[in-house]
Amino acid sequence: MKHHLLRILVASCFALLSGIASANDSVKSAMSNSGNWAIWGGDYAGTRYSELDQINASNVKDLQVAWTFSTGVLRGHEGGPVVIDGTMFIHTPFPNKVFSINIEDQTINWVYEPKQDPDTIPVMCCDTVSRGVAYADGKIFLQQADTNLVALDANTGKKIWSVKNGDPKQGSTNTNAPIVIKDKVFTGISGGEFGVRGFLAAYNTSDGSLAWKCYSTGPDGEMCVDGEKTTELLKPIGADSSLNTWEGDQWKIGGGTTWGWYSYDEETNLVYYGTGNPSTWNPVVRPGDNKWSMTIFARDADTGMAKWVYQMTPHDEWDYDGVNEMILADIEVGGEMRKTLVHFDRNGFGYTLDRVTGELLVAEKYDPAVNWATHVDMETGRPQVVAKYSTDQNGEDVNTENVCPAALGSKDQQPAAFSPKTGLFYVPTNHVCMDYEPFQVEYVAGQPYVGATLSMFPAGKVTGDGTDHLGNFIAWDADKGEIKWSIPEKFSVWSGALATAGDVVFYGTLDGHLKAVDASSGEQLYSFKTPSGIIGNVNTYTHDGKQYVAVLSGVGGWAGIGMAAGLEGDTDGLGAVGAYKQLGKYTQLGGVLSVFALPD
Amino acid sequence: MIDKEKALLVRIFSSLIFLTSFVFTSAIHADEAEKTAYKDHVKCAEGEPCKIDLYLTRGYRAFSQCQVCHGLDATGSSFAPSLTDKMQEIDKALFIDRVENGFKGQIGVMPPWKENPNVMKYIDQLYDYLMARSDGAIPGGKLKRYDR
Repeated sequence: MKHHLLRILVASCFALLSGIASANDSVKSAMSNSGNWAIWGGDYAGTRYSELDQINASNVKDLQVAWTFSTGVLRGHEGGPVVIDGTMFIHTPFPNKVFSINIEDQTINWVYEPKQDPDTIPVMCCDTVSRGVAYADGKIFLQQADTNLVALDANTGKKIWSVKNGDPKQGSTNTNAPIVIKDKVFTGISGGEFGVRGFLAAYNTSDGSLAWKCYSTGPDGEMCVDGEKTTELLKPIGADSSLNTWEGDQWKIGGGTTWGWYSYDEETNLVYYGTGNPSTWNPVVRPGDNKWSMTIFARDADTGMAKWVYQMTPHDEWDYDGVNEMILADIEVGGEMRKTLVHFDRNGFGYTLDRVTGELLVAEKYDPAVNWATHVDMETGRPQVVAKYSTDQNGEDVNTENVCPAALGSKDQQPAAFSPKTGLFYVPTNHVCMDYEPFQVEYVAGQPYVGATLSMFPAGKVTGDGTDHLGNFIAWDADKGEIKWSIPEKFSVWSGALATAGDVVFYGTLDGHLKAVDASSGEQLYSFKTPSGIIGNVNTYTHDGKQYVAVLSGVGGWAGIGMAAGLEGDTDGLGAVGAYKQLGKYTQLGGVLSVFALPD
Repeated sequence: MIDKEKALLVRIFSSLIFLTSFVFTSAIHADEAEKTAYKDHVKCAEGEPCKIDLYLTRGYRAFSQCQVCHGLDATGSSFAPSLTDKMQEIDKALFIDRVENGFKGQIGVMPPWKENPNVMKYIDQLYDYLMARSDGAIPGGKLKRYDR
């Protein structure tokens, strides 16, 4: 810890003296040590790649459990722990406890447990998940479910400051992990199913005061966009770009929430994230493109001003939130090195964009079952919607059948990984389709505002290929827009992936297995059944020079309900009832961290 | 399915015994009628899935508010109980009370819905829909209408 303090001191003095505001020295320094896992994505770019290679493709088969830790909390454990210089910070779902663990002997340094109003719980649409904490400047930043953003002293767990980021009585909650860039901590908001208007907010790390807040919808000023300077696919978006695409005041309760992951590129000084579905799920009542829901935003990290935007699913009719992670990778596209942003959207398309300019380079389906659109027009960037899968064209009170993917998306928030060694992206996916029927609902503040009924079932029912699995773990070539290999999984893969320099890729499964596969071939090298289903993200770190792999088990999240789909089985003509048996046959609730290592 | 039919038969049989004993006859009558009111809204033909009418479809729509916790087919999730089980344990009055005022369960919290018109306007339809699910009269998910 002494080292650590010294580093902070030196860093702050340097910043003071030189007046240079760098990306945040403490975060950068923590990230530069590959023995740490300093941020949700391993780095600002969100690659979830580690240089560690002690555990490799030839010895991973010998992996053993080194130690375990029970969080004492049930329900869905998403995200993963942060590791900083011998200390591990573990978060939990509601009530959002944080444990500081001394990795040396696994004793608990401190526990933080906020007092939150239990009335927050029912306002959380899809389980009481939290996706983790952020570390910077000797502080741990926790985004509580009740929207309070809290700064804790990393050494003692004492609360330094707390700021209210929204109002659960109006349907606002938080599930996201914050990130810290320079002197600001960034967070978003959840509540797209409650008519909450999305935004990205930056708070000053020193005292929690609001630096800026930029909305996803509404007047240009409130969205921090400039009609002439902010571009979409290299063209200026023009004035009132959002207001022009909504009828009346619907944008005020129009969603575009921001509950996913945030990435950052120091070179461009841009923070990247996506916005969620427009409210309500009934598209008929909100004609227009509903900008800027379902959009990738690239914002200046100092001012919040949007440099570019790209709306992936204009006028959403299926709940394909655009919040999934943005992976910043320098790869060859069409024979030329590009600074790209790669994004696997809920809508089933894998996008490769130039992250500096926002130019669209590649947009291809990363699950062949995707059928709601034939392709993305590369000139306009618009998906070409297939009429029979348009829940808007079919209209209210009409059941639109066999749409792929389901509302869960071909992938949800569970982040993918990128290995610069193989040049491949490793993507946890859903292989699920749906029937969707929109209908009229009334808006009441703080009450669910959904407006569609849906049924979900294995994609095999639609493709007719005789399969009944609900997920795949795939390797993706973001240059060609092609699947390199695909591993079928019985259930949706709802865990964040990890790629390492040891040519191994790790992921967890809903029935509770931690798996390791060969980064080139996808061949399974290791599997271990943890105490509960895995919806957490796999991380790696070193301690005393030895490499460890860590993952939270604890089934729940939207996957925990999604899997109840199609249990009747006998009416869908597949006959293979086995695959639809409840997840409960395979695993039960329980939050446990499992840490793995090679034998000494 | 067979188990559920058995359970239904047992229930009908036991109510018959009660009937002959002249005790609480009318109350049980009313109770049973309440529980099986959905039968007027379900039509089943040999060899195809049962169809429902607009009345029960409204119940299914109101249920869309419940799906996020109780599962798409009402069989529950990792954080809320199966309603196909629960509906057999509670009567309509208690059902309405729980929906209106909420309930704190073992692992989850049920919110109060009394201010939500999308649910409260169709509380009878919702009850009948869930009883039909619970009795195994209709499968989960979307059903075709017979009245259009």
